[in-house]
Amino acid sequence: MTDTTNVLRDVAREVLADFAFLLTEPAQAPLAWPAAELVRHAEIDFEGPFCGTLAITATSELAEAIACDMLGLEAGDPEAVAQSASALGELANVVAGAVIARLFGTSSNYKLGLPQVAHGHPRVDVRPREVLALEDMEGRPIEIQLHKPAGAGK
Amino acid sequence: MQSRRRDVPDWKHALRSGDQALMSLNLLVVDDSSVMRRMVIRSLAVSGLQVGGLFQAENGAEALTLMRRAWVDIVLSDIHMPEMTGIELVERMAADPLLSQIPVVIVSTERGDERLGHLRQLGIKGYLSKPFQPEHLGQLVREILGLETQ
Repeated sequence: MTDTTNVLRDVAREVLADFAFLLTEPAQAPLAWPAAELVRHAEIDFEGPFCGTLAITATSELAEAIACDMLGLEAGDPEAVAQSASALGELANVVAGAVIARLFGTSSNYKLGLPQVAHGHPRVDVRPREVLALEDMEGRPIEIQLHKPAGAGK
Repeated sequence: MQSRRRDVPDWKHALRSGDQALMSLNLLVVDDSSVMRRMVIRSLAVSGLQVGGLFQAENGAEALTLMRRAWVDIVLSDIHMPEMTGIELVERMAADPLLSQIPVVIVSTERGDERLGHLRQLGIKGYLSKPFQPEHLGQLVREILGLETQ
């Protein structure tokens, strides 16, 4: 396991717990996903000495649950559905900021882009990547991908 | 389209009684994420701050337009936003004799020393990195505005 893998795992789990109140564990088996229309992903690019992308993929149901927890809404609140894309996008933003700071330090001048949220899984990308497969306490999958040049950062 | 203003400001004025400041604050939250704006507002509510007027803007340009129409006591702003970033917002405010009097707190994922140093030179009063603890945001606002801890 590389340093990048460890940093991604530790930082992502920490942010998910602190920011989205979502406790997760590394998945012990390949993640099982529902149909693409029931899956959402948020991507955010970063630029600096190294450029890359961080993507978070979750089921729509989990994205709505995250929105509920972030906003203090009851499960099933229609507002959670309306805010689920924004919640997943902001989660990607916060995870990316924390991961970049941990991997590259704060003295490097990195700039985050704006999160883009869409249905389905992220596009297939040929760049080197780290993939973190997590499950929440109810077994719902969440995947985090970090694309960056090999050898960049830790 | 969702309203950008959750509450209409009531224009209550600051009241002072003895040493205790009883202020009803006008707050401006600037973030392109609707979820983040609501989280900031919720954090301040949880911390017990008395909010009179609550304004929201999706970017720096909207924030400037709003501040030219209504007085706000403190600005809580993200950095990375479309149209006008939080950095440009702070630069524009610093160059304006009236707006430069309004304290700004940056609430962002940005951790870069250079950008934060630039913002501090421009006079921001505080910085909080996301994710943050709700009580830290309330405490920071209190400290900046010189309010008693409740």
